[in-house]
Amino acid sequence: MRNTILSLAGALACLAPFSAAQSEGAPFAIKAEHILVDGGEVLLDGIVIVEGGKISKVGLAADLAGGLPKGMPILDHDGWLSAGLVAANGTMGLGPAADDSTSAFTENLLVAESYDADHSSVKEARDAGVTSFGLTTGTGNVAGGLGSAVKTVGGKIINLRTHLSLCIAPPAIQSRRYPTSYSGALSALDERFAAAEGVYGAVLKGDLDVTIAVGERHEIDRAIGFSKRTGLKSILRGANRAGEFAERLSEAGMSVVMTAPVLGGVKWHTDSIQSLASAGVPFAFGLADSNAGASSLRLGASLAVRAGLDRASAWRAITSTAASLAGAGDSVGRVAVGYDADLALWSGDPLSPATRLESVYIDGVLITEGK
Amino acid sequence: MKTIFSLSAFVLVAPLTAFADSPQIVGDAPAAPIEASAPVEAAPVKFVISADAIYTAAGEMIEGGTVVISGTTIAAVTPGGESGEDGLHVAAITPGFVELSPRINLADYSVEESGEIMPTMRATSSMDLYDKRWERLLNSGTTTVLISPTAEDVVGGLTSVLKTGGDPTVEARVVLADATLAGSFGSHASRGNHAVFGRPTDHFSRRPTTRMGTEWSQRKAFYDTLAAIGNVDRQFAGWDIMESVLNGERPYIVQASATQDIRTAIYLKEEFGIPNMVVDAAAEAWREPGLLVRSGMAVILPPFDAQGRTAIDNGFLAWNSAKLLDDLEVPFALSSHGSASLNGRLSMQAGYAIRGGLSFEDALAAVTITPARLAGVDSRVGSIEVGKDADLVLWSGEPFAATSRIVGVVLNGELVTK
Repeated sequence: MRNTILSLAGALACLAPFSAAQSEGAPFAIKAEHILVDGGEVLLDGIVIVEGGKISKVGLAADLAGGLPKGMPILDHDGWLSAGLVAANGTMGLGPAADDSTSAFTENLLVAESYDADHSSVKEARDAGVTSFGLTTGTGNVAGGLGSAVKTVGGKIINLRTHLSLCIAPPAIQSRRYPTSYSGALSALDERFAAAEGVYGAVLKGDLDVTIAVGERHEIDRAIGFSKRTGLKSILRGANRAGEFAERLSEAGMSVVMTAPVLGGVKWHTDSIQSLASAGVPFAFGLADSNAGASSLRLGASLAVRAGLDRASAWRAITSTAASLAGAGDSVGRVAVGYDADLALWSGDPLSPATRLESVYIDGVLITEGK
Repeated sequence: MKTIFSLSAFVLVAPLTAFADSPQIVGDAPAAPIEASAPVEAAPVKFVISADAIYTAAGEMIEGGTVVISGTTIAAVTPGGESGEDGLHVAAITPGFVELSPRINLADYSVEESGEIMPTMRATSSMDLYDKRWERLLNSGTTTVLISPTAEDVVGGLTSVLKTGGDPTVEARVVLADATLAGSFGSHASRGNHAVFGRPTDHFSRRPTTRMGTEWSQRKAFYDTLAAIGNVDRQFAGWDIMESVLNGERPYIVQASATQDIRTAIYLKEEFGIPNMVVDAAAEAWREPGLLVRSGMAVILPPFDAQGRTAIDNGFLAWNSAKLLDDLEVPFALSSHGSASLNGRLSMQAGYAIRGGLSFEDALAAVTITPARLAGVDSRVGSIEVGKDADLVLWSGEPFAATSRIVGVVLNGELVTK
């Protein structure tokens, strides 16, 4: 731990345990050599002031440090500070309860009811710097349920109902239960959206996002066709090949959550990411359909940059865009005034694979150190 | 010398610089300027293919002729004529093949198996246009196909006619959407189902489990349809699609391979007066000549096989089956079932039918205009005629001969190289 505590109030305040000050919700500040604000924007020698678990000020240390109230603890970090990472989706904390297998249509189930924030998978995400994610169902049902935006500590829910989780692909389409075919799944969904009742009506009104899990190209094509027909600006889930459809996705106002690139992965994956970026299709990385674990987010963003993606897009794919696709874009994913103080302190540039995560704050509370 | 040199330099350079600034019309240009402001459609690209023989599937063979393609359609078919320097010359041209039973589907995911009477299911919702088999079909000369659900349901759903190439979207490839309804006789609809003893275990605990159960389900579906007409209380999902079959608006293509299944299909047609019915994979159709002729049913033959047996219900298909149907004047089409083997290709099937005694012209019709007619798309594809889609197969020699090669395929006026 290379962080040192400075205090304007002098030696006495230095004796008080720093974490104790935070847990009481008292204001504090963190100075950092680099603050990664959002996208590619970096503040050199910046300072973030946290009050009541939110970011109250962000700026250059030279401008703000002089005006701090007396006695406010200041953490001096000689590395990088950024927003905590956001996974655009994930099933962490659900264990085997990610799908209710009693029917292919369980659209009214609230996945947050199954969320166990103490589950090891949530801790693993936290240790990788992930401070919030879009909690979603598995892909076992055509209409799996309603997703939420959650924090990776304490079971805190940012937004209880963010999206309806659909799947038009084999995990949901299976031989021993209705529907057994793509045509069956599509006609069932067409029927429900035409009736526009309950959650389907809420989706059509724009009160809820809708995600559609697909994999193969013909499935992506089908999901685009379905979205255009119903007028939905759907978020494709797990659609790593979506870049091949970038123009059509852009026209339809759709976005994409994919798994992050992995070391030794296929080239079409990174090509697909760049096509989406060129066409201006919002995309982010998720963990729900990945076997690679939470650490794949930051490494995947690095690999995308290495393959040619611009840094800003890569960083947004694991922070601000991920947050907005997870339904929490107004409160997490950026170092900005009014946003939750979900912060990650790094030994260096977080997009460098050699960089270590040093501390994580969620809602202004120090959660983990030295991982 | 010096003067001449500078003069020639002027001649060479001056028009080029002038051209760069403002386009000029040289040669016998019209006196009036061309109205560039009027939105004129770009003239369609024309190209010409000449051949020693053009088999149009719409009349006599043209010996030494040309096909002129303008945009996506055929602009002219003429005897004689030169293709010119930019044109192509080949030994023979036939229409692109039309196949009604390509079986290019997503197997289990192509049919809704949660029920048996599923008229509303669309085959186009359950297919993979990125599958390599599409390229194989196109390169082997098949330019138009009928896409159907598999025959695992008594009534499987709606088929569509698609081109085999172009952008991989249904919108770009569709020739006729919801062209026919697909049904099934024989063992396929009942396999996998099991009887209910005690409590049903899953959605396969249902009728039919036998051929006679399938036949019962077919008849019930049509009786239910008759009951639904004009009675809102009796209407069910897709009853109107079933009605369109009963009144002849939409052909009913049913799979039936063995003799007893073909008989059953004929009896259904006659019982309900279904005007337009086609029996697919009908290996043993030749065994019921009297019934077949009486019913007015059309036939799609499965691919010939060296063993004389088909994969579907082990139907017996003799080499001369096509010839026998032709003698009966029963409309029939050949099919490949999408086989990847050379033998399975539709062009080879026409060759086998000829070997079985069928005439060249009738074999050509059985892979072009007849299937186009049966699917209701003969106004667009199936023959080489002015105004029809420019879908052509270009041959190195006599079409369907074992020593001939397909040297090129034209789809919608575009040359698809092999």
